[in-house]
Amino acid sequence: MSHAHGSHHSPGAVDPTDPHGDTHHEHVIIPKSTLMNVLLVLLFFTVLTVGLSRAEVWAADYFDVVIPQWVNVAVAMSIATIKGLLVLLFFMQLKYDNKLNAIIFANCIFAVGLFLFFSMIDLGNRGVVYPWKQGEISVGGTGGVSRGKGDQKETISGGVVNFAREKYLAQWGPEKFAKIKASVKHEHAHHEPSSSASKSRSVKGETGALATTAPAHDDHGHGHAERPGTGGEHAPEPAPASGGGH
Amino acid sequence: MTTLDINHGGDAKANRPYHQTYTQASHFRSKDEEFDAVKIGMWLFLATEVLLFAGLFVGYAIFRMMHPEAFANGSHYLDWKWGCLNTIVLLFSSWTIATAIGNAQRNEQKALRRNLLITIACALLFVGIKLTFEYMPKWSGWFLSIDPALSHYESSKTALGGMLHFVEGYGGKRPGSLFDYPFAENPYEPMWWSIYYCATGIHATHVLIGVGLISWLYLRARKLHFGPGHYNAVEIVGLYWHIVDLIWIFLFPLLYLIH
Repeated sequence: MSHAHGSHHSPGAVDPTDPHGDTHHEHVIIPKSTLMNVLLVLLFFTVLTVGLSRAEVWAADYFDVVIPQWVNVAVAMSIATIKGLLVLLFFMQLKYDNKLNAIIFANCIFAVGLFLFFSMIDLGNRGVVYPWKQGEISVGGTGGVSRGKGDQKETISGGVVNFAREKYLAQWGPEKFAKIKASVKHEHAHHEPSSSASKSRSVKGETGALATTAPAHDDHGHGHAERPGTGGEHAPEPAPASGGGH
Repeated sequence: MTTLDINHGGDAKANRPYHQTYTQASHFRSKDEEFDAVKIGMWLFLATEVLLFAGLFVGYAIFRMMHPEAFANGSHYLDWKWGCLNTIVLLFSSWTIATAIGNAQRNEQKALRRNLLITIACALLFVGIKLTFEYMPKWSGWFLSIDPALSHYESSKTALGGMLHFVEGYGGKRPGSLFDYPFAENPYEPMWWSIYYCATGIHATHVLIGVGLISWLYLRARKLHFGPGHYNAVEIVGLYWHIVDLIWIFLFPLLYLIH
């Protein structure tokens, strides 16, 4: 329909500059009055969004009501979306333009939506504990990893290194632990300085728990035995072995 | 997009303005095809621009959900009047450049130049307001003497012959580890300022790039480069300028109007 350009060919002949025909879009000249009206509506919505925001503050102060935060966000974002659509459709001419441009932009907005959506469902559910998982999650942890089945099942919390050490301390008792350690470790004595976990990073708080518990001394075993209930001096609470405490 | 044959073809062609003699680059079949290709390219670029800001918007959303009080406190340090004024300035400049495209299409050369100049002026006004009335006092505590906010504070010293006034304890609202404001009410306020300076700083950089681009349009418009036969550059710089406006339409309520 909009084949105003290059129509010097007789009807029916193939235009070599446009073999498929009808691929060009008329260059639309948007009337000045349309642009002016769009500007006025945009300014109106700007005043409206500021006015609603101030009104909300005023109502909250004056009537001492608490307006939930999502109301503020929903109102402001709805108005911004309307304004954005007006800019896209009229100032950026998407309304009159090759539809491909609109498709490109819509896909981009869809990608932004996905980005936002998955970020939000992640963040929004960080605090949720599903009933069927309650038995596996230890309070104060970031969730744990479970391994094994039945009697062998164990839930790791407080770091797997610490967990393993505490587990065998409890299983063997401190004397056997020290004895086995001495019998196993001497073979690799020359590796010990470089493999110490506490030396792999500078200790600035973030590795504190690892650093304070890494050198296993015998007295840790006694500490562990007395610990339940008191909290203990090394940071992470060890999970009860084989889920017996739940 | 320039062509090599502008001045080839005799005196009659040489005396006509560029926009009348313009022909498409050799790899396009027609000017229309070139126009469409240029625009699709620009829209693809605009999509990457939106994705650039999407990172900031999602960062904003995550940090605001985690620390809503810090964001509410942080927003209260901003004056919505400056934000609103800058919104109006940008919307107006979007209108002038949209009108400028119509001017080129109708061969209204004088109005085209005027609208481009007004757009540049609005862009500079936007950055000027942002730097002198918002960034400078919040970062350093130094106010311009004409800043209306000075009536609420007592300045302890002046500089540059009274042009600048220092208000002790006002400045230091800076991002992250640069934070030096003594009266924060929430431990996560430095994070709010990080988001604020990143988002508005990248946006203001885009505005300054826009000043350069529109100045380039103006210089070309003075040489009668744009008219009904050729206005690709006005069209795509216009698109760029509108996306800058579009980003601000969302930044303004998110930064200035929350509580």
